[in-house]
Amino acid sequence: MSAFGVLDIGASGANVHGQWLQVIAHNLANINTVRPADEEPFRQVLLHAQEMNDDGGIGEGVRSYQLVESDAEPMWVYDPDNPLASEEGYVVRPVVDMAGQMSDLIVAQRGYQMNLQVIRAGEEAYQAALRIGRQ
Amino acid sequence: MQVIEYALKALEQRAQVVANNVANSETPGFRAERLEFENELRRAVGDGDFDRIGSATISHAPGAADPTGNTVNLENEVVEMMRNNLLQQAMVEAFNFKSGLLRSAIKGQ
Repeated sequence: MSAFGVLDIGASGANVHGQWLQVIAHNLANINTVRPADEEPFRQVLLHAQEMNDDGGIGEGVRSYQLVESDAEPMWVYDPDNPLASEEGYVVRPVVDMAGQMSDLIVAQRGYQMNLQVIRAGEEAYQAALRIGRQ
Repeated sequence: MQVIEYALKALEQRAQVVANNVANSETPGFRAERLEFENELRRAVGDGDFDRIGSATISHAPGAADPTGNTVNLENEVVEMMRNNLLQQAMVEAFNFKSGLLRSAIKGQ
């Protein structure tokens, strides 16, 4: 861990939570993306995070590990007026869990803010350390 | 002075442990960690033996896990972060006080 390690750890947390916000925004932006019934529906993407700790000592923060598409069952709806509808008149709705994404949005936002607070607290502590030896 | 130096180092490590807990507050399966150095410091002060002082130890914090197996409690981390910063500032003050004493002793004032 480099000097001022708390800042790096806080930044890694803010980064991952920021990416999470992006992923949620992408999912919610596609809340109405319907596709023809015979095509793969839009599937919401989930961000998997992983702790960074290579030497088993003090952890070094967090990183995003992989993006996983939801494998939930899509919903086909009868909508014959839709230009995308199949010959039988069906379209496939996107697989997005709106309530789940909205609550994740709050968690991600608060997590982002919390990590910024860690960066501020770390900066304060390092400022105090720089006063060591002053009269 | 050795006590203050040891405590300052350990407090910096504890700040990293707390920062890591916050960064992983949503990581599935992550267990919150705590850094403990007070007992080791107390023992060294009691024995007056600073040559053999051990390093701080990391353990898992007690607490219930959420459905993903994560045991980080953000409120506890905020409190821990504030306590740590105050302790660290107190140690800096203590260090400066001690070095001020030494300085007057050297100058003979």
